[in-house]
Parts: sequence; C-alpha cells; structure tokens
Amino acid sequence: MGGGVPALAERARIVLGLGLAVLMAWVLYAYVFLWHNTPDLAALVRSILTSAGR
Amino acid sequence: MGPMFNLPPVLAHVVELVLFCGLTATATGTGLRILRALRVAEALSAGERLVFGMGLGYGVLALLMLGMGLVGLIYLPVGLGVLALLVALAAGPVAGELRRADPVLRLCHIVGQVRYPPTLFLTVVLAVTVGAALTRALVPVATQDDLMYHLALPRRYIEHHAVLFFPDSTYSLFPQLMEMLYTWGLLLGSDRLAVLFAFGAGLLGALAAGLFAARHLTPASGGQGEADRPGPWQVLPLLVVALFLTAPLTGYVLRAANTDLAQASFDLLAVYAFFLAMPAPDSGPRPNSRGLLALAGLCAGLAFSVKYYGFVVGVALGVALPMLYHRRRVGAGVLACVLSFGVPFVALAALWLVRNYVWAGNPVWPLAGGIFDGAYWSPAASPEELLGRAPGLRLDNVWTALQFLWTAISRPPLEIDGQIHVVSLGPLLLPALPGLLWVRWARALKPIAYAAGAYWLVWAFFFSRTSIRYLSTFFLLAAVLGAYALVWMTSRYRPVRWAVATVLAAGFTVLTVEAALSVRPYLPTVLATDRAAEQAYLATYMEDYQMIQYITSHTPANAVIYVWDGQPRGYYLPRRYVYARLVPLYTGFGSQPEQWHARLVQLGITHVLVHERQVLAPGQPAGVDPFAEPARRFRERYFGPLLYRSGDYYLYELR
Repeated sequence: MGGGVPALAERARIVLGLGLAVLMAWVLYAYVFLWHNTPDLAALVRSILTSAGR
Repeated sequence: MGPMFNLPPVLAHVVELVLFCGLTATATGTGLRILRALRVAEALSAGERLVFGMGLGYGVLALLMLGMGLVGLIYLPVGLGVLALLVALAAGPVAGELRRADPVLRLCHIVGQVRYPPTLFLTVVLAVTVGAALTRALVPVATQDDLMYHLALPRRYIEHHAVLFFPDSTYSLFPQLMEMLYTWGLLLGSDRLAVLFAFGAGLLGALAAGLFAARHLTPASGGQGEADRPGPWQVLPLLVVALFLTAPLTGYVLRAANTDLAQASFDLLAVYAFFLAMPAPDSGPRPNSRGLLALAGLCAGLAFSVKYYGFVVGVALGVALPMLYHRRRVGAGVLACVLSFGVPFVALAALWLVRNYVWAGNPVWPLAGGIFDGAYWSPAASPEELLGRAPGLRLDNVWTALQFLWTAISRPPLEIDGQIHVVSLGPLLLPALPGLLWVRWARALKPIAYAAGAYWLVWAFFFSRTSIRYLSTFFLLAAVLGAYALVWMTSRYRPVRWAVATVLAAGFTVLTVEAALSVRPYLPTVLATDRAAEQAYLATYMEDYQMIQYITSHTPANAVIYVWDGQPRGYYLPRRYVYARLVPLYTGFGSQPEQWHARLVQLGITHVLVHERQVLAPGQPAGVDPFAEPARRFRERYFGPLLYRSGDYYLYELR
C-alpha cells in the first residue's frame, strides 16, 4: 500500500472485503440463532447437550 | 461384523487403527512405484508423492480385490498372500521416502510454524474436528446407505467368495472402487476397517487441497520462502482444510463407508496433476508433462470408479486439454498429451462399463435402459420412472440449484434413527466465494475454479434434484477458492484482516464446540471394554435391531427373506435375503399375484420382512406408490400370519 492514499479501486476492495465479513458474520449469526431453531447460544449449547444422548 | 478378534471395542479399535495405518502405508508404497513408472516422482514434492501415492495405492488395492472377486478367490488366505506381496513391493519406496524426509528436521519446522497463533488455533480446530469424526466412524455401522449397499454388497461378495451381479440391488453394478476396499475391511474381519478406508480416502482430498494451496497458491510458491514467515499466507493451507472439514455435512459423511468424499478426493488429485502438467505461460511444455497427464487421467478414472458423477471432472479436463495446448502453441504434442490423459481415464472407466455390459447387457445398468435396454428393465418399471428422471435442459435449473444450495446451507439439524445430526454446509464454507470477484487470481486458482464451475453446472442442470452430498467435489474445490479469497484480502488490507479473522475465529469456535459435543452418544461405545456396549448401541439406534435378533433365533438357517421396503437394509440380516422392489422386474414386484408368487417360490423366498412406512419415491408426488394396489392384493392372498413385530417392522411367513 506504500503508506499513501489508496486508489479508489483499493478503497472499493476494502469496502467489499468488509462487506464480505459482514455477510459471513450474518450467516454465522443465522447458523447459530435461526437455523438451529434456538434463540441464543446458551440455548443452542443446551439443545446440543440434551439432544446428544437421544 | 463387529470389532475384530472378539476383543473389547476399545482394544479392537486400536488394532483396527494400526491395521488401517499399515494398509494405507502399503498402498502408498505401491502408489509410489506407479509414480516412478510414470517418471513423475522426481517432479513432485515429498508431500505430493505421498498424497498421489496414497490415492493410486488405494486404487491398486481396490482393483486387486475386484480381480480376486471376478475369479472367485475372495478368501482370507488369498487376501493375506496378496497383501504380503504388496508389502514386499511397497517396503522399498516407503523406506526411501522416510530416509529422504529427515523426520526430526520436519518436526522442528512444523513446531516452529505452530507457534504462530492463527496456525495454532486452526491446528486445534482440525485436531478436534478430525478426532470427533474418527470417534463417530468407530461406532457400530448403522447408517442407511451402508446397511443397504455400501457394506451389504461386500458382505455378499465375501459370502460367495466372488464379486457377482445381484439383480435385486440397483447398486450391484455401480462403479465400486470403494466397495472393493470395504470388502478388504470385511475380509480382514472388521466393518470399522471398511469405514476407516472411507475416512482415509475422505481426508486424502482435504490434505491434497491444503498441499496444493501451500505449494501453488502462496506467494512463496513463486518466490523465496515467504510462506514460512508468520502472516496470513502461512495460514492458507490449514484454512483450506479447515473450511472443508468443519462443514457439518463433511463430518456427517465422514462417519460412514460412503463414496462421495472419496470421489471428491480423486477429482481434486486429477485437477492437481493436470495443473502440474500444464506448461507455464511463455514457456515450453514440461519435460514430464505426459507422465503427469497420465497421472491426472488415472486419478480421474479412479474418481469415476468410485461414483458415476466422477465422469464430470475427467471430461471437463479432457475438453480443456487440447484448447490449452493449442493456445500455448505447443501443437506438436497435442495428440500424445490427449492420449496420455485419455487412455488411463477411459481404461479405468471401461472396466466397470464392460463388466456391466457383460453381466446385464447395459453398460450403466439399471440407468438409461431406454437407450441400452438390458436385464430386468422395462419402460414402465425403469428407475427413471419409479425414482424420478433428471430435469430437462432449462436455464431455470440454475435458479433451482441455487435454491437447493441455500437450503443446504440453512438446513436445521435432522433426527435420523434417534440421533440428532447437523447436516448443513455450515456458516463458513461457501460465503467467502463472492470475494473471488475482486481479488487477484493466482495462475493455479484457474484450473480449480474451472473444475468447480464445470462440476456445479453439470450438477445444476442434471442432478440438482438428488443429494447435496453429490456436490462434495465442488465443496472441496470451493474450500480452496474461498480460503484463497479470504487470505488474499486479509494479507493486503489490515481492517479486512481483523474483521475476517474475528468472524472466522467465532465460526470455527462454534463448529469445533459443536463437533466436540456431537461425540457424546458415541464415545461410551467406542471406549467400552465390554462388547455388550456395541449391541446396546445398535438396540438404541436401529429400529430393526430387535427384528434382526428375532430372525436370528426364530427362523431356520435356510430361510430366505423378501425385504419389502423402498430403502431395504440387508447388512445385518442373518439370513439370505432378496430386496423386493428396487428392481421390480427381477422379483416380479407389482405383477399379477400368481405370477409374482411363482417368482418368489422360484427365488426360494420363505419369509417377508415389511417396513410399514411411506414409500420413498422421490420422482413421485408425496405418498404416491405406483405398486400400492397390486401389493395390497398380493399381501391379502400370500402373506401368512404375523410372526413378529418390532416398531414399524413386521415379519410374515410366505404362504
């Protein structure tokens, strides 16, 4: 990057990269809290613990 | 076929693991000899020699079993003799690799790398994930496809001491490279050894993908040792492996004697060897490119030998080959190169197709009967008619396939046979792929993307109504692509690095905790010192277990069971059995009652085992069974009184 002001394309890539991180964070949130049908991580862990022995 | 030598489970698993490592080392040594014969060994790194050697060695081991089976020599002493010969063949190359490797130096190098925190983190993630998958692989076999055919057919081969055509099973003439390895496992006395072969073949692709990333995608692969310095690129190989192996679907498939991950591994090896054979831009052909193309052809042929879907990558590479060589103006060797790749690929594929044609008159029996006809086939009772046909060639298939993929990502856990399984793709494997649109691509990324794209498109247009597991090759290639995109961005932009690293760390932590917790129902059985623990496990998680116990103790040894189920499970049945409705024309299923009964008498059927449930016919609307009415008339007339009931399973005598 050379310490100078990044070119427009570079700035765009940074924004897109951050956007990708946000997308991945949302998918992770959905995986834990929506698709497992549990409202919070503690409930997820509880559901895993209780379902594991069935 | 429980743990071997009647040992307590925990001791049996130690023996099984040692035996598995020994067999894998023997196979690898044999594969190293093939690499030497192809004159490519010196062009490969030590790691590359090991992954290609292992892949080729598994292929040799499987084909030797096929050979033994075709001549009716599946006996333990013959098998041990063959293995002794292989050990003699493999010992030299394996010892040579060990001498060259300098284990102490390598260990110091690895320890030095693990001190980098992200590397240490991913190492722990992988250790837990693989350990959990191994635990799940060591419990008694109870998965549907294994009980139905992946292990049921090898059990029949061993009982008949031969590989034969069993027309009651549609899977009898599928390519069976992995089933030949499973036959080795059963012949040596352990179905867990069979599952370990699947486990090893599944891990092989992930290892090869990580190696490809390390050797050909990091800046160091074009420069001097940059990847040895801490930094995002150093993490790339482990990230590739972790993205693939932590996907819950991968862990779910790894626990069974399945075929999807093995096909993915051979597909990846084919692309890997193909890339190695390609001349770099502005340079002439590689001196050993024909040997490397033959290696690619062999790997593609092995992928087809595992599963029909293996044709996709082989054909895609075959199509690309002349075009690439033409573009790089190396015209003189084009035909030789096409033959180097095509001959081994076609030869391995032909092995299965010719077998099928000789036995059933159709090279892809029981599929495509409309073109090839063949045994026990009619237009009204074809698999396409009963199970559903591939969708027509329409552009909206792409949208349907994308929806299917989204369902696979967002699918909630499933309860299967009393166990909860997380079978989704997880949160990390695919979401990184959009990053490929704005990162700068390394040359080696292109063949990976080409193969992944070709595989996905063929799946989308023709196979998207099937199982998401059939996309395993795409997922493995996608792990390479996604990891590259993430590392490229994080290596250049510090804000992106922290954001992506935080999400990845959280995601891997969730997946790792989930994997660790998932072993709870399995661990007590795997570590048991009493063999009764295995019986208790099966009694808990197999609805038909009590029925199998009843058949063992209450039916004569010469009883023949007619298994009346859309998804029959034969592996544990202690008597000779015939699947009723997979190939209806073989057993007369659905025909006139007198004709049907006469056929069952001809087959020696004495009992009928009925699984009362909604028939699984994916090509039909829900609840529709084309055989419902003739089946009802047959039952009224020829079923004797109910002998025993266990859950939804009912046993009758045949009148």
